[in-house]
Amino acid sequence: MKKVIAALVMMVVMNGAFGQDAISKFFSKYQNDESFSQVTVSSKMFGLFTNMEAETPEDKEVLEAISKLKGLRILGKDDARNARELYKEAFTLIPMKEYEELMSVRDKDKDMKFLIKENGGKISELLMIMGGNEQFMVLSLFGEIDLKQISRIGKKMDVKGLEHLDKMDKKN
Amino acid sequence: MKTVCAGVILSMVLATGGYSQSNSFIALKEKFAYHHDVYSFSTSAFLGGTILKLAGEHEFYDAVKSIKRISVIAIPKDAFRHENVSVSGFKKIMRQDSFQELARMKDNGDIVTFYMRPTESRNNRYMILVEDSDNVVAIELTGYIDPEFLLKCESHTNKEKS
Repeated sequence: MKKVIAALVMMVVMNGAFGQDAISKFFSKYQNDESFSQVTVSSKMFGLFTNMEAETPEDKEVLEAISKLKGLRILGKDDARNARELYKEAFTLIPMKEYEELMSVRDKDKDMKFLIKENGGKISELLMIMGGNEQFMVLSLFGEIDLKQISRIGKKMDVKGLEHLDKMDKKN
Repeated sequence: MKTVCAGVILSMVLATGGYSQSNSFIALKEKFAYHHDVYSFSTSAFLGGTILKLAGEHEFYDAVKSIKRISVIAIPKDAFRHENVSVSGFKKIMRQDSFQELARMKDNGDIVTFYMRPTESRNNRYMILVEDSDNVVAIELTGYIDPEFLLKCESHTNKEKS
């Protein structure tokens, strides 16, 4: 009986650990593959922006938006001959029913897809999946996300790709 | 008289140096003090800043100009095994010492973790732990680093990729 309870507890814990965001499945699959790069930023980091002084009203909006973020995870592979395969695999591992497609970008070098997860009318996760000729990347940004500020946040963080969301804003 | 003055100054410098390091860093130094191939040093940020300026790292210098002290220790992983301790054990000590993880990067098997112990004044402590296959390097910074610069550092791997 104890073993059954222990197994159930483990299942709950594992589900909690890996069910937090979409790239958790990628992390668990490729975490020991040294050809992949991983970046994890905690909520503590974003919290540092809470009390920062902004020089302009625009900066203040960006800082407020950053301080509401809870985490960032990036999984990427450079010089990946199988980048397109990884891109396709991403869509099989990610629970697509939970996401809504926000935007797709296709050019000669790469495909990019932006997905969002909504909770109670607020965007709780932004997912960016990129597959190029030799590059693959999944980015998951979670917390309370203000899409209007996301391209500016991307600039602040030097995260390439998020600037495409600026185009969406201008179209609207 | 010169000897007395030198003694007083030296004592003050040593006392300041000791005070400026966290318990976590001191624990590392004490644990591995007598091991071969363990290197450690501590310097005022003035020297570090001068080196950065000379190296042309102006952006880095601007971001860390409020850093007051830098301490570095490089320890071979063999020394950890010899002492029957682990890096994860040290991370536990850091958590007990109120360090919080800000970010972690893994690239080509190397793991870089950023920690911070905030204070109300701009006298924070930052610990950067770099683990590769052979060594562990701990860098402790005392003072203040611009969070925007920190965030850019974390996503640097992504920048190189795109």
